[in-house]
Amino acid sequence: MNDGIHSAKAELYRFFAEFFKPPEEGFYQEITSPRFPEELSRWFQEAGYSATTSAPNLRELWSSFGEFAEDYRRAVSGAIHPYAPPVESIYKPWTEDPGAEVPMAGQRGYFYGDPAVHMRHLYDELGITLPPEYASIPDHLTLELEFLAFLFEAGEAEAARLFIREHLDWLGDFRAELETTPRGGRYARIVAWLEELLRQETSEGGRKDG
Amino acid sequence: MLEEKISRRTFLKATALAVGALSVGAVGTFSFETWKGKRAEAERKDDIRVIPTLCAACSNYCGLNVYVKNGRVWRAVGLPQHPKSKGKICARGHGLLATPYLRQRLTQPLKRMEDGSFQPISWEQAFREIGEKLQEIRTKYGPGVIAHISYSGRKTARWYGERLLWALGSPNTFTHDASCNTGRVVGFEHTVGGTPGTDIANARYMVYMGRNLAEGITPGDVFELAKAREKGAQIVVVDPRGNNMYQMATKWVPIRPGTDLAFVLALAHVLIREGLYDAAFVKEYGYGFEQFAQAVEKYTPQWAEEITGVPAATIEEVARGLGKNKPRAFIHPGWRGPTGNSYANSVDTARTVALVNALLGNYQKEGGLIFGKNPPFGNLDPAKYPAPEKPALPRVDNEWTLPHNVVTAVPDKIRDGALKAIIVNSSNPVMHYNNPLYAREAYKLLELLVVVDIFMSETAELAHYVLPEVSYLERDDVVEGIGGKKPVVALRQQAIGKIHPETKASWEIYRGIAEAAGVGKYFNFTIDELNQAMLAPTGLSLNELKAEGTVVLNSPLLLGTPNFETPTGKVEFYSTNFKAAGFDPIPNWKPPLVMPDVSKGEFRLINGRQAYHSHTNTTRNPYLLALTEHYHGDRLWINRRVAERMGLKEGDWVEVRSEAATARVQVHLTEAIHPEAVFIYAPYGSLAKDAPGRNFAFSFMTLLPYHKLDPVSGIAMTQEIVVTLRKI
Repeated sequence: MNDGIHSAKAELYRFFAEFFKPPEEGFYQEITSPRFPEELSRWFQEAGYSATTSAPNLRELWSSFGEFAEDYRRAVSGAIHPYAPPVESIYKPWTEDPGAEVPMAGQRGYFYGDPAVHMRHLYDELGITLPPEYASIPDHLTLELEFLAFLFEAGEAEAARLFIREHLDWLGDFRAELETTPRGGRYARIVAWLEELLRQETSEGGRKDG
Repeated sequence: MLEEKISRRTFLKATALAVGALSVGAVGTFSFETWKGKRAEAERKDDIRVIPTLCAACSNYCGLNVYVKNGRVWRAVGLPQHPKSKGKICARGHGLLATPYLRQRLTQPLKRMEDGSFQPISWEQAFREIGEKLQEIRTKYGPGVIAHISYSGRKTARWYGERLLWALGSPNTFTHDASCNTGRVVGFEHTVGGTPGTDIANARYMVYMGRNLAEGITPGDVFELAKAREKGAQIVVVDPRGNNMYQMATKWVPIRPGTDLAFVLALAHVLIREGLYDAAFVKEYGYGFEQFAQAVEKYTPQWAEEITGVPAATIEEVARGLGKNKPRAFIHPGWRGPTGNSYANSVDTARTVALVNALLGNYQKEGGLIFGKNPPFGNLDPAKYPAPEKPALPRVDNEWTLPHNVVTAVPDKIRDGALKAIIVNSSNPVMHYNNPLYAREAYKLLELLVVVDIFMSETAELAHYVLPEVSYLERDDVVEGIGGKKPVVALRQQAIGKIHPETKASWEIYRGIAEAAGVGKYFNFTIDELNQAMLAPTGLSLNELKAEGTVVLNSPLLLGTPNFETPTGKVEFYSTNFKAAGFDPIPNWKPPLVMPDVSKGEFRLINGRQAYHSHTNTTRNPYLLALTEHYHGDRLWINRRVAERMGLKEGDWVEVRSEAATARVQVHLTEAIHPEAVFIYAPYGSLAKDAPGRNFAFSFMTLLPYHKLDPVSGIAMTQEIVVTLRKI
């Protein structure tokens, strides 16, 4: 096991998780600082990932914190509609429970579906707590990326890859929705970048985890 | 290890174990697929809880048992003891189970900015700014410029809204009724003292005039109707449209829309002329019968045939059917149709329906009309919970003396400057009460508009503040009472946790606003304390009610002797209140406001309830909209012969034009509609930006001529619309 690699991966996924939290200016200043691209590439290297072709230039992508915050508010926060929810359940059948007698069973587009119930199950089983405001959206992307980071930190690389295949397989649909959501285009590029990274992680040749 | 880390927040916290000790291998259901496969093993029996509560798909508020599994709604069944559901729920009730999980829900308090966009804000900021603005407006103009509007079925909003308004010193609380059944309420209240229920199961002859139990569904009533039918009851549907209730009916009488008053006046004529009325009942309980009898002498079936298009022989047949089966016979009081809010003569139609029932002597009789017994509710102890006084100020709509409130007058009151601030809860006045374009321009003039809702409605789009409420499955409400042969108490209680954390129940929202507006002392109680106080006289504890959901009180109504709560204590064939208000004390014939000129290709546009939708908010529900698509439920009904003469085929698109606006819609050709009318189901054509219903047909309200209100009741007369069609 290579602690350095896992730790770097955990940091990278927490970095991506930060995009889907209510924006803070400190984060924006760091990711748009002149030295950030170099640091980022070092992290990639440390994590054993190759350079990603879809990585955007964050300074060019968002010219101000206001722009970044406004994209978050309009495209992913849910405060303003229409928006693209960064929530797994929305993009998966609500439930495959054969006993469920509700109209949304088997349908997509609803909150708190099976993915959310399973995420809660995982948090409960592994002694992880989540903030009250996310109690009914345990499958929010920011939490799933943090969970992924936990897995890497715990040295559970195989489990992490299984988690990516099963719980982060909806990002393409999310990205497609962002692309048609007002002010969602720049977030779509972040998701495409994340997808490329996850593909590296799950492809046979892309793994370097010792 | 990385030397530099960017600043980031970690929302997940590992509690039991250090992060590095996460023991994934010990979790046999770590894999999502494995978990799904082993679902049954992974779930414990106590994962399923059954919570009795109330539906919210329409004003029936049927009793439900909601099964909650893993914190989610899993199934729901009707509560057998609830008089409205009787163990069943309708398509809307099933469809609405998706509501908590819908992605269109409002999730955070919003403030409208100067550029018209909305900015999410905290509850603290929302309460503070709304409270300050209410105080500023009250100081500047006086308290009477503040109003509250709610759906009348939503008792929590009504109760808390009135308390807040009274605390602020304003009497101006409104419900949606003038857009629904105010014509019926006014007609019945000033004739027999209130609107009775119907003893359907025991009736032998029933007439339904525009009342459509199969689509304006109350499941319990449909059961009763089926029982009556099995026992051989005659069921007559009088409607320009062969609505779905026809399948349970024995006769359909297609009437020219807007002429129901002539039909019932002629029924009264025949009952009196042929001595088929209950003379003893009329003598004991009637007031002014002679004047009424004299007035209806001229309303012969032949006279009515000319106006209604219904053969005189049919009118006589129906009158005799009623008369011979009395008192186990009735004309249903109706709801929103011809007696409710449709025509200039709706109120008089309702009065005459009340009077024909009196001629049948059916009040408080088996198989007739019954004023139900309500549960005895208490109130908060004012010594502990100070209660605001009813304001002495006159209401802004006090030019109408017969209805309780006239929400349709609100746009003009805003334009006149009489209203400056409005709080709206569970209601969508911009869309539903007047022509929406007319209403929208008026509501824009308000200095403060606060909307409490779960969706971004047409009204919310104009609001200065939008406050997101939890859905009906995520909240407790004020205890409900249902009158009937036995009084019933029912409770909506929280079945699942909040999906969106920044949403609140109405009672919390009112308390927050009240505290910020300086009247918090009137809200020093929880909803549980209020419900306990209300329940006290029933002998039920709140815990008992929470366990059962719906409780039938063993305090049966004694039938036989009616109590008419009118000024004379009698059935007022001659209305003293109408006389005092300057209106005809006898319900004489009055034509509808407009009549289509058939020779010019004109039609009357009529509308009605659909079995799988209630209002525009159910068109937010994908499941119910799928039914619309499947059944082409948003097409404009037109008489087949008329349509074919116009060269129209099923599904053709037409432009529908009224004096107010035009709309586009596909047509449905059918024999089941009067040739002088076209019909559209009511909930479609939303104007809200994010509402899926906007892609379906049109709203009849947009074609309603601007702002004509009935001087008697204030109803918007929503079927006084003449349209022409053009194939496109």
